[in-house]
Amino acid sequence: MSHTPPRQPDAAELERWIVARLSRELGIPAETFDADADFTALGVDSVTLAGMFGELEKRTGRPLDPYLLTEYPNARALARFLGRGEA
Amino acid sequence: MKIKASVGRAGRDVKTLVDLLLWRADAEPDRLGFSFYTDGEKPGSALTWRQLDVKAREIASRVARGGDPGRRALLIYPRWEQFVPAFFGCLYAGCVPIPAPAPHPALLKRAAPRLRAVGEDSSASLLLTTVSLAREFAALGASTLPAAVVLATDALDGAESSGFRPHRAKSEDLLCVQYTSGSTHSPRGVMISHGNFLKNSRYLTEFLESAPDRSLVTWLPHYHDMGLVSALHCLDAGMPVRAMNPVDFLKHPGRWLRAVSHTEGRVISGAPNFAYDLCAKSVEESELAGLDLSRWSLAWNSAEPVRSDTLQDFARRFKPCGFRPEALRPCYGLAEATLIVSGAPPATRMQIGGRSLVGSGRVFAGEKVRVVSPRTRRVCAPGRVGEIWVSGPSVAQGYWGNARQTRAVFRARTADGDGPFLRTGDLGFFRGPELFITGRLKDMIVLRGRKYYPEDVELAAEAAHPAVRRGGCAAFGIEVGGVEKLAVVVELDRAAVNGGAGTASDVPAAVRRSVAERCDVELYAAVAVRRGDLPRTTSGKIRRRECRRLFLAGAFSAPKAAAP
Repeated sequence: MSHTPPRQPDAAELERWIVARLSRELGIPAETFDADADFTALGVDSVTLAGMFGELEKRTGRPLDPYLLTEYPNARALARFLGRGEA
Repeated sequence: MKIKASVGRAGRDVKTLVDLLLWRADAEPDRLGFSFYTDGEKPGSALTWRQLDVKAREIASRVARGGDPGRRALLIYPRWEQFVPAFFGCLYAGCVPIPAPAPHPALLKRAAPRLRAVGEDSSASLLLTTVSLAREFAALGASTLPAAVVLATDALDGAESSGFRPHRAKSEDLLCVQYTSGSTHSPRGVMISHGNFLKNSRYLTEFLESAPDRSLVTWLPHYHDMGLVSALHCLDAGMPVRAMNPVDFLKHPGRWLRAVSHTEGRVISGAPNFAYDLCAKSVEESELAGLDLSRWSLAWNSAEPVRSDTLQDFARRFKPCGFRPEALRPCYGLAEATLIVSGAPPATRMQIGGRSLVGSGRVFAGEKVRVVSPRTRRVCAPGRVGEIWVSGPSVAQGYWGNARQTRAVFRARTADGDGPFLRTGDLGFFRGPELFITGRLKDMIVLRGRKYYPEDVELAAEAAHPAVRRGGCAAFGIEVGGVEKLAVVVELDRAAVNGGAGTASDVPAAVRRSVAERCDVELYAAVAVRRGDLPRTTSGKIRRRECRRLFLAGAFSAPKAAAP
């Protein structure tokens, strides 16, 4: 990756970012966005997910396989996983 | 070895795409045909024409066992490098390939019904895919399979197949069946013949100025008409293809620009409008350093409305990298006409009613385009807006297995009997020789270059929740910040609500979920309204355009929906 972030964002920060990103995309107010709801249940499509993963790669500085979605299917779970900084 | 004027050389005896590959593999075996990016950044494997021919024979020898020519094979591959040999293997085996989108394994379950709809509509007997996707399909259960027989082609053992004799198709035989949307409600497979393809390929050569010393860089999906035909056209032009997988572009749009920059010689590369927009907005300043876009000779823009703002923003943003604004070339086409209908020469712009319209160029000599009043079927006076009708050698053969729609769409005649014409469903006008596209006659929704039928979205919305009234949904496109988004308004069925079939407040979320699952497209707005609130025709059909107007006027506000 050509982008190395200055600092690893923590889980709370990442969750806020994911929620803001998707609520903008879906036209849902961030306050009512359910971070525990699966992305599929929220109606997010695969193109948006790909774009979101790309931006998360930049933020965390590591490559992310969309396969992660099977284990971390919502904003909270994904942010927690990424925020721990595990490879 | 430089081969020049390969188009001319290939021209005489070449009647099909199979002829083209056989000819390339023989005449210039060691020239690069395709190269593939592994992750969007690093160059990965590559195929010379000879290597592609060998791989195609290997796959064909497996496909051809015990099958009749002309049977259909569904091709589901995540990556270009898996898809390309399989496509040609299919042709060598005498099968008709049907490219379909490969879902991410995590999303396979929700994509399975769409793929199955394509498999059923085309009565495909064979599914060609990868080992890993074949395994995922098997795990889901045989009932979800889009075709009865599965063959994984990415791990063949390299058995001797040099003796395999490729099936020699005729010009009028089908090259492929192209499904233009993932519609389960009305799947429409456009039948493209070899003759259609070769004719359209010549238009592409004229438009793109394709030549053996240039390259096509693409990240477009291989299952989309634009991605497929533009890449296949390179066999005709003798031009190498550098292919990146769409998901790698969608993750980091800057990869497209880096691929263009890293490719030697002049580069031809195009995409729908949204991709230019995405680059102009999301590529970071730090990514511009070292980018050389001065050799990007032609950047076509089509498959969705071309926006004047986007062209300006893109040109301005990447001018410091050497990008030439005149490389941006809007064009017009559709799968039903193989790919391209108009594009030459450089398009002009004009202002109409506060809207800046970008011209889509001249129609290629050989195709006939008329602007026709859809009501009277009379050809419109020059400058008047009407439906765009096309006739000519690159107009496809019709829709697979759908005589009724084929007649309605491909066999139209004007009031004075001229025809047959393809009805494109697009609205536009001529100014002089140049075609301008203004909108759509049908309610088709185009998002990021992909077509969606409102009926599919509406059926998904109906199925979302028991409180949604049958036949009480409207799906339509709305523009948000210069980008087309999808909105759905559903009527609530009071009886179902009172009968305890869930609460009405769950409905919008359920609609979003159902539409994403069934159509893989997300909604910008999902609104529930009272029964009877949607405007209808006298025969009870929902008037989508009126729904859209009311929606934009704020008539379907959320508070109203909360109190059904």
